[in-house]
Amino acid sequence: MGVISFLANPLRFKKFARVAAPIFGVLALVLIVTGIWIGLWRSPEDQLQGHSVRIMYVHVPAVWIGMMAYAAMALASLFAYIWRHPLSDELARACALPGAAFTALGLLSGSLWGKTSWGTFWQWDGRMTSTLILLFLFIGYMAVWAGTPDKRRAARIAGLVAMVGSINLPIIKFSVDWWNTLHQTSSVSMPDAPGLPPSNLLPLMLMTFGYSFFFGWLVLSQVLNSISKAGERRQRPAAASPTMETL
Amino acid sequence: MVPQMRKISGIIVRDICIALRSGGAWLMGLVFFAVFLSLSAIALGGEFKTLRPLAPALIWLAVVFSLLFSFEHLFADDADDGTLEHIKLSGMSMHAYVLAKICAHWLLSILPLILALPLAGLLFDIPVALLGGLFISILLASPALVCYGAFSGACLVGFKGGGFLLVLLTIPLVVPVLIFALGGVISYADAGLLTTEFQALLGISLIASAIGIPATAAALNTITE
Repeated sequence: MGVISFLANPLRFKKFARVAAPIFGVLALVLIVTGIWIGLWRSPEDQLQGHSVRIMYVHVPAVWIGMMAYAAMALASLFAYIWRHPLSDELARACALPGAAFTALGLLSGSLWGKTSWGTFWQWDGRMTSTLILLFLFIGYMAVWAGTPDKRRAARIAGLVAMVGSINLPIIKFSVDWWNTLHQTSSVSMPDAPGLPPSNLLPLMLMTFGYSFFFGWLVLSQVLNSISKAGERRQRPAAASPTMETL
Repeated sequence: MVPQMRKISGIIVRDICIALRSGGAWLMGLVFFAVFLSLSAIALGGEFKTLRPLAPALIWLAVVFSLLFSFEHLFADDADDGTLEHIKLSGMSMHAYVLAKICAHWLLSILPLILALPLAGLLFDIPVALLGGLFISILLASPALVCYGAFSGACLVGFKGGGFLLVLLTIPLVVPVLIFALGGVISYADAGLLTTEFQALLGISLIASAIGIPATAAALNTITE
């Protein structure tokens, strides 16, 4: 709580983000490059799936970060809704596009992996379906932001949309899993992270942390950008007001 | 409490009067429902053998889409002509107003669809047990459908071309409803009323009312700010 109230001040946030954003960016680059290197060249191939198991290092972290982005967006919206803090709105907004991109990357890499291991690009499997719905939630949130001209109103409405969506996500997840077990006769097995041998787990973890820092870098830069834009907007009317008086 | 109830019933009566004087615009949802079902039957070849297993899903989709398109004007008209501001100034709680609008909308757009269900059943020649399941599932799910639709409608007041976005915003919330409703229709035929699916559907409707009404009221408060 102390950290949040400390960073709630836009100037202090700006100072923090100016230092943290480049660090996050460099960390992301280093971790992702090492992760890809170890994942593609220095880790053993799977006994059953062969080389195609390496798609996991791109796919699994992408879906995780997509879900984390939605959680962060809903949490920031909650803070913005209760304390009406504009910075929190900006934070929520900045999470949406990277979150949607990671979710889309997860779906895309998942379908490629599916083609090599199950022989089909798409399966109405519980996880895939709920990830697809997560993508729809992101798109709806961004569309509300894009289409409402009044920014303060857009922030509040989009925040409500994010919060209602986050309450519904567990219900959607549960219902889709239930539906899937009812209809799906062929069971689709995916390697779960905890059961992985350390040689596969290391690149997966590297990629996860790399993606997280990349996400953090994107969000911080976006918020920094919008703070300085808001600052410019505040200065412009002050310069224009004397001309109004002379008229 | 009593004046609040009178205000709620006043708004319900007013909305129904406005709808009845609108020259049949409130029946367009029903027409859409009929057109959607006919078009599906034509596209699928018109054989009862192929249509019968698909009928519950098609009827449910027709209900969902016919409802979704009806929420665009639920609050937009009141916001445009200043009714919403007056409601707020009158000291009526926004929650009560939303509740009244939702009840009126239920009577105007879901009730006609429910009454038209036997005709839809005839179009697809489905057995009575399946029709009963459809009837119960729509009845149990209707609070959730109306609450989520009203929330999206309130979010998109003053939004240009909000119809498609309304569908996009509401569809993810309606996914569990659709899943449990269709599961319930199928299991109703052999397991009766007290199935897990119908209980889940009722639960979703309760959750949706608990979330949807305050969220809709909050969105409307933002608009009148």
